Amino acid sequence: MSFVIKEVKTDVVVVGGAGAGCRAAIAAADEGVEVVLLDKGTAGRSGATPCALWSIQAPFGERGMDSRDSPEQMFRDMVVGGRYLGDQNIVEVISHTACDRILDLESYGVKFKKTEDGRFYQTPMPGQTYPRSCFIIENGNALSTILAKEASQRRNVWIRNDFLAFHILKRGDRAVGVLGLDVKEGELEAILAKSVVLASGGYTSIWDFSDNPPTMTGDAVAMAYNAGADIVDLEFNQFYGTDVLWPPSVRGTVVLYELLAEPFTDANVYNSEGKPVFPKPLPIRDEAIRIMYREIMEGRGTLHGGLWYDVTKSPKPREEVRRIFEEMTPRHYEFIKNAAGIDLVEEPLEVAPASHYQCGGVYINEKGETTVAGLFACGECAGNYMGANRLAGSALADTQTMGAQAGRHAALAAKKSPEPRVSRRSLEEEGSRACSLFKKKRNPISPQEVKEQIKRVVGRYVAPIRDAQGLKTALNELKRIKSKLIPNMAIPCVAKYNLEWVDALEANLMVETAELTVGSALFRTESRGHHFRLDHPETDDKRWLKHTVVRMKGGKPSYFTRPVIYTRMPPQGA
Amino acid sequence: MADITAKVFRFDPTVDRMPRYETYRIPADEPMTVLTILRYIRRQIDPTISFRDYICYKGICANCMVTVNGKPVRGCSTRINPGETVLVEPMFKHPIVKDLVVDFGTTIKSEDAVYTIRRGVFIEARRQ
Repeated sequence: MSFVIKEVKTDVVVVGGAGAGCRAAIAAADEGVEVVLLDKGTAGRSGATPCALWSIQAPFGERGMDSRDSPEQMFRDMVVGGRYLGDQNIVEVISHTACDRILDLESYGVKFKKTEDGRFYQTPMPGQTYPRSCFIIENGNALSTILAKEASQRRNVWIRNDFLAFHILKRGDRAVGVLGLDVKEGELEAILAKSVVLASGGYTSIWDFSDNPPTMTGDAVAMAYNAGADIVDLEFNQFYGTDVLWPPSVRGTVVLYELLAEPFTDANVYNSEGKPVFPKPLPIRDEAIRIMYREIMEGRGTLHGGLWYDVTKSPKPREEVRRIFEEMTPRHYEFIKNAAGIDLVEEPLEVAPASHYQCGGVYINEKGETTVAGLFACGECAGNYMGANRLAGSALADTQTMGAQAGRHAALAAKKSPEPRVSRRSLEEEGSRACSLFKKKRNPISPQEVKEQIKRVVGRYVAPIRDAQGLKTALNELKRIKSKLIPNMAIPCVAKYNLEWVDALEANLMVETAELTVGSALFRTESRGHHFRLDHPETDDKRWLKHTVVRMKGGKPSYFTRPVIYTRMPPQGA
Repeated sequence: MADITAKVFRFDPTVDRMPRYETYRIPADEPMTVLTILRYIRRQIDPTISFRDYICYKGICANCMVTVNGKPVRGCSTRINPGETVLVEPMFKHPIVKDLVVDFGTTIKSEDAVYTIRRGVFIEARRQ
């Protein structure tokens, strides 16, 4: 099969068009450089941001709900919440610029809930010393669509939708752009750029059960790893306890765990024996997830392997319970009603812990620079600032603070960089690899099937509770998929909007990310935050107050540790 | 168990001169959404079918808008009962890329949000 690779040149290319990507594009454009923003779906309407709820944290202090709050307090809360594994140079940027970035959002047209005298309405969330979560009206969906609109209104931003970037182009040690597939046309295209910003989100969808959209296949981690960048802390996989498991039409929809608390519905989750599983008051999230996981593993789960989220047994009148859902999560409540025909106020729902957020990712510094020159990262795909655990409301705050930071510094770097060039040969090598999928195979396998197998392995063995034996099994399984199945992926000969081609390119990246995740989880022989090892249940501050880093060496992953950066708050006793 | 019968609009402008409608039978013992029907067709019957799969699957993003029995709906939250026949077509007001995928251009209108992204403004400005 012959193919042509188009080339486009720009100053900054941003991969990913949700919260972090759009914010990075805006910041870069405001420095006066040309920006191309790539999204594999529709910018502003894909990625994880549109699915986010209302909460974005910023220490507004007197301008918010509690005058005692301050950037310094937010800094401390994030450091403690991350179990002292967040790099403090980055946490400083996040906590000290969060308010400014929210004011930016307001100026773009995002609406926030306010008090009568004009202060930000903020809700308290676990881990925040003072109430700090600002309330976005119309949730993450409003935030991402308004950001995409704002980016598109800049003359020097060109948004490319339906564009799947799958490879970082390099010249020498420097990133000089990305190679991708224009899905609508079915053409390969190289976007050459002086700076590359990765903002394509986490890798929650390498699990078979996730509450994120199926797009979150961890492209950034695999691409950065293949480009030689350091990848950090991939073992801190956050799960959310109560996501709908059945029926399939609403699989992965969040029903809020927090709404089971006494001030709200005062309800519970029940096992197949009809017994409530949570003590009251409700345990914090990661503990709750482990309780649920144990119930299911010990055989007290439902037919589909979940538990019953049941508010019908709430002591409160049904109308009050209904009002709580209608007020707090109207979209999800409606969606479950429409798509599954289930009114969750009237009947129980099967729920289980699902993959929710990734604390790890590409290693960056406070400017968003990775360890590869010309390559930047921000948002969920970047790694070393959350530490071992993420506080509620910080995912969106990070997209804005570090998004702006990475975008701006990518633009400043681009101003000083030479014209990006790439050898035609290396382009064609990568291109022919992407096109070899069309060749006839002796034992053809559908990329959909390959993806499902990867997800099953990760879902089974990289669970909320893991151990060495399971992780080793997973590693062997993934190696088998990589050597036996990936080379045999075959796709139909269709150019335009060929979903099989997209799946195959994603499967390549997914298996890489999965292998690195399993390897990192195996490497850290302790339990901390979202990483719980059954064979190493204790937290080992002596040996493990460090990052897990993985880097490609001789074509293989090599794992090592890297010290955490403490700027002003070293761990006690260390 | 009663089959769901789906008549689906198919058109690949690079090879087809005219659109056609393909009929698929999907075994179902409980209601399915239009999106789960399309996913079933792609997985089990015909991998060449195109629809927007890069979506939230939560009734939010409105990227899955298709025409079902003549009405524009969100594919992810529209239920079809076992035994029913359903006609699935693209959003005809927009240019068709392939099958059910249209180029929203990138204006997506849904009951709660309207936004537009001017496509290609930057590159056209450069060409002039």
